[in-house]
Amino acid sequence: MSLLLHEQLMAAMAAPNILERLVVTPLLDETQVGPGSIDLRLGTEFIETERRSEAIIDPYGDVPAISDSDNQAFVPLGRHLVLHPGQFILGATLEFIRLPDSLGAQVLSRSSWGRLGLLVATAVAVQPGFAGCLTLELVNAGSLPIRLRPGLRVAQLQVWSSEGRTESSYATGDEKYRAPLGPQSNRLAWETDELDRIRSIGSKFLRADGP
Amino acid sequence: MDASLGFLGRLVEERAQRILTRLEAKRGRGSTFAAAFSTVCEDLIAQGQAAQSGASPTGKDFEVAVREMLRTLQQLDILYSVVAHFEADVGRRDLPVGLLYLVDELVKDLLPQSADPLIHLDDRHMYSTLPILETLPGLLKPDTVTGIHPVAFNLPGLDPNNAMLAPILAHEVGHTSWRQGIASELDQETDQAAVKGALDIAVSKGVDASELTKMYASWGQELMCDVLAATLTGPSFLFASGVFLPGPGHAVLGTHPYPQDRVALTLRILERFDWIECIERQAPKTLQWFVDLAGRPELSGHPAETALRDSMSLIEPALLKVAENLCTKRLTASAFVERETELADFHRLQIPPAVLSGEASSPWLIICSTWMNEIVRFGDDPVALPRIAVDDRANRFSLKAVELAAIASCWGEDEPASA
Repeated sequence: MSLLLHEQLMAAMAAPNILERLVVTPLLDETQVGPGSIDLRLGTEFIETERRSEAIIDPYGDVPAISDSDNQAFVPLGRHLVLHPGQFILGATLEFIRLPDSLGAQVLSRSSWGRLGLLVATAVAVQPGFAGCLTLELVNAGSLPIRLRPGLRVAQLQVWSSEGRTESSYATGDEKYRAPLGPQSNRLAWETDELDRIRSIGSKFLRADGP
Repeated sequence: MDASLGFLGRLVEERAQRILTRLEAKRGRGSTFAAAFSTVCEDLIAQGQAAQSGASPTGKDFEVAVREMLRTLQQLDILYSVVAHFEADVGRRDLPVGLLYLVDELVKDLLPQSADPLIHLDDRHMYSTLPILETLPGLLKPDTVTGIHPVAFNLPGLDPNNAMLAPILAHEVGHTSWRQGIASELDQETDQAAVKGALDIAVSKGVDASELTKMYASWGQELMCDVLAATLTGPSFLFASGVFLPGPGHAVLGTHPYPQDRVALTLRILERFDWIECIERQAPKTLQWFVDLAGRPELSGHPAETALRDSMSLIEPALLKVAENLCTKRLTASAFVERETELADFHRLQIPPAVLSGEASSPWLIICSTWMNEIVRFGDDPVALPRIAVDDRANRFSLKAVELAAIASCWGEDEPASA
């Protein structure tokens, strides 16, 4: 695996065969392509977490921690959204990304925003074959409200090449977050097989009078 | 001043003030609506105060002044009902940005005098447009509102984010274009003597002249809207119309031209702009269904029917000319064919075709390509049209592409996207 540098990123985005192409659309400004990463802009769709009366979050429960219907907000370019200290919302990149099967990537916060207390992405890995707008987990870890303006560069994409290509591309699987066009809420509840297995194994260890 | 006039003045002032309070701090898209209605309220508050202070509001005698205050109170009810209906729509944030940009494009492409669009989710599940200030004829002075006027874009409440049916919205925007000057342009282009001749034949056979004139105006307006939508959006209008069309059968003489005749006209427009070969390549069976449907209404032979159909044929060249003059940004078949392969790749890989070969796509190219590619995916069959129209993925995909294309286009022009 090696990191794609500026020239390689430009070449990957210009690949004539669309299946081999690194797609970042719209790339509004070529200066977004840096020495070893591509700056990504904040998109216009957000999901704000609704404060509920449930005492706990059970991501595998019937009501996931965040659902797509939770206070969906749309903020056009030129307007803004305020993220208060400690607040957590889901956003997405403005750009739609598609990685060919031979490339992987990581999405990272831009350091300038990090210094203001804004955490942009906690789930950094982008799988080969992924297509969609990247969901950003936005948290204000600072002590003052932060004004978020769609269109500003908030994240960066580092792209890594491999010598081969995967046969089990994200694009071919029945993946949870396939080709999203905006922020996606968690899909942990889809992993019920895994949970059932853990419960089954757990029951072998638990005594009838156990906790 | 009589106490009863002072009392009425106080009522007017208080009620106008209550409405004014509801309009405060309304910013963003559609705020010209709040501004215009606030101005009306301020005028009414001043009138109410004048009635209380002893000065006659209009200088007329007491009886006239009381009657005027009572009328103002009634108008306040109308004012309130309009404000209550639309106030939540100003600067709303619950609609995809792509939908806002799509409406902006319709305003730019079809309205000669522009508009400040106020998007309203209609509880009757209908598309329509409404120049809101026309609801206040007695309250607006000529200089109350300068600049662009608010126009309500009513979208189906249960399915507002529908991009595939945007051509139907284009037809509805045509009705506002009609009020903004297209009607008089059509009049100028029409051979009035020939039309009168056609209508006179029906009148000579006992058809009520006044009713016939009204129907002629209504049919002409509907066809103008069809021609505008078909000229601007191309085959998408044909496909979207197919969702609402009845099958072959008896035509009913009413306010609208026969659906079969409307399809025939749409096909003639598509042929005029070289679209037919392109549709035939992608959707031959669907096209054939429209061809079979077109021009085959089961006619009643009523003299009014003959006169109206004849007069519509007579005004057709004028309809086409007016539409071509207005729709300078119409989607062309050559622009579509040039990008056809690239568009198919983008659709296959589910990449929004916002920017193609470095150029921002028009919303009509995006929607047309989605219709064409979804017909391939769902099957070339007219029964697929309603399924495509309500397909969530197709609509979200198109709206996202429209959003990204609009941003890329504005960025290229070095102008901020509208908020």
